[in-house]
Amino acid sequence: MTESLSRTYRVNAPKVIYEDFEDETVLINLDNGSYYNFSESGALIWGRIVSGESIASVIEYLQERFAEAANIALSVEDFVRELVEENLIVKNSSGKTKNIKQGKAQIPSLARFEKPVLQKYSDMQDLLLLDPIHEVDETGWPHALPPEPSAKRVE
Amino acid sequence: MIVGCSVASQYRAAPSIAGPAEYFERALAASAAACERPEAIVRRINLGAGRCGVLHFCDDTLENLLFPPLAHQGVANGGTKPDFKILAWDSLHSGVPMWPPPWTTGDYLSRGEIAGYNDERFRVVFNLDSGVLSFYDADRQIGLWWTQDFAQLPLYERAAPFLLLFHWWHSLRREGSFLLHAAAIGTKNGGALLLAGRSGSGKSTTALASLLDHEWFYVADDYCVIRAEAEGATVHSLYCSAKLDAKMLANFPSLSHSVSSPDGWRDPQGKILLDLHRFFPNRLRKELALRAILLPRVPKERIGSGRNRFIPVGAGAAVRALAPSTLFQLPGAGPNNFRMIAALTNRLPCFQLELGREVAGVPQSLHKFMKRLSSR
Repeated sequence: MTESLSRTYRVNAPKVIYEDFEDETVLINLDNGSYYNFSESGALIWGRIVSGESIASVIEYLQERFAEAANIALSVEDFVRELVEENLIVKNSSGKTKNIKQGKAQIPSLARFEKPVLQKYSDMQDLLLLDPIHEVDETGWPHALPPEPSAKRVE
Repeated sequence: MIVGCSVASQYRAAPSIAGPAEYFERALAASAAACERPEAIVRRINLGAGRCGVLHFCDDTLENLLFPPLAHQGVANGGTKPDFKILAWDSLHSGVPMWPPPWTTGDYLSRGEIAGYNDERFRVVFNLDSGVLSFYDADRQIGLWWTQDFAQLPLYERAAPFLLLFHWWHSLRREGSFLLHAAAIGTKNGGALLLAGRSGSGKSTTALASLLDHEWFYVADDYCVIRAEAEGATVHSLYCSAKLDAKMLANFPSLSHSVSSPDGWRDPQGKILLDLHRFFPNRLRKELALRAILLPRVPKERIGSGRNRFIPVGAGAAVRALAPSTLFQLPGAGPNNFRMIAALTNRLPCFQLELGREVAGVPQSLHKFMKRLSSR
């Protein structure tokens, strides 16, 4: 087993919060304004990864359960890589691994495995002061600077 | 005295301030000084579930600016001890200076919170755009609202005054009530529908079309309070104002007389403010039981008859429409608020409302939908 497959991960809390629903899992990154969802196979993988199972263990479980599905290992690795790139999960420093053979109760029993899709939404980012630029008045209170005349907003 | 503290006469000589508790005491003393002047005005409002709040304004001009959106929940002054107290003032008109902020410019976080000044007891946000400081002490249930010059307030602060203070008061009481970014409408006997979605989704259009229909009542335009109890969830009306894109007024000519935005009031988004309590007092409802969540959507291409359609969707879709916009607009909202929103979507049926061609036909479609919902 390669070193990366034996890794375990945890939710990047408290920045990232999530809830499982019957039909999908919804995640919110409170730091950057992005939110996400995935369904079915994604929810199944997510549930096991954030419970402390290693990538190898998740792959093994899925290969047992969906014997006829192709590319399970690649799909899981790609999905986990995306979750890491989006800072939704981080490496577990404790090194403890768990073997979980039962999925979470909210996740429906899947008839077949399909490559999971992490859907990202960025339409809330304008509600955050990602780079608050301001100057301070004589009383010590700041105020936002008006946008520079040459700056054009990208629609 | 308003807050049971003496007014510090020397509060301008600011020694170093150690943290939120110390700064709150100083800010509270300044707020009391502004709101104990002879010009000050006191108002009392119903907060739902038998709770009431008292609002202290430094003068009648500020009261005229900020109280109208809360007027439908106004109750007579006096009576029982209030559950929540807000002191609202500015320095320019009251002549009372505010303490300089003890934090640095690098301490402003992404949702306006001040690093190191938000904990289990205190919440502080300074809105860089509007220049409003909101400061809340959960132990004493006292909120401070301050700005340098209230004449500079943007329209959204007037449409939903004290939004963060109300959010913190509900959220930190942990009694099952919370603020939600959603509109709400209802019927006399059928209960209420929540309308969720971003600007441009058709949420306000649906709510305002219902306001003008005799079958429907208006509960909320943008923000409402949800109370989740064992027997069901209710929606409580926080504000009786409505914001509308000025271009949309052409669709609602009968609303034009209720516009309360003064000429030249700054709103970069081109919104206007409607005073519904003054012009439609009989069409407002303060609280209703919730029946369903609707996610209005204006389809890019309307196919066929262009009728309004109600398509069942899962709780996850409703959460995506409700939770991010609520959480990112309300600093301090976190996992607990997310869980409560998720629980709400799990207990109510959720539908996408695909809007048809005619705005005027929306209330009638909603009425038929309510009847079907009641017969389920």
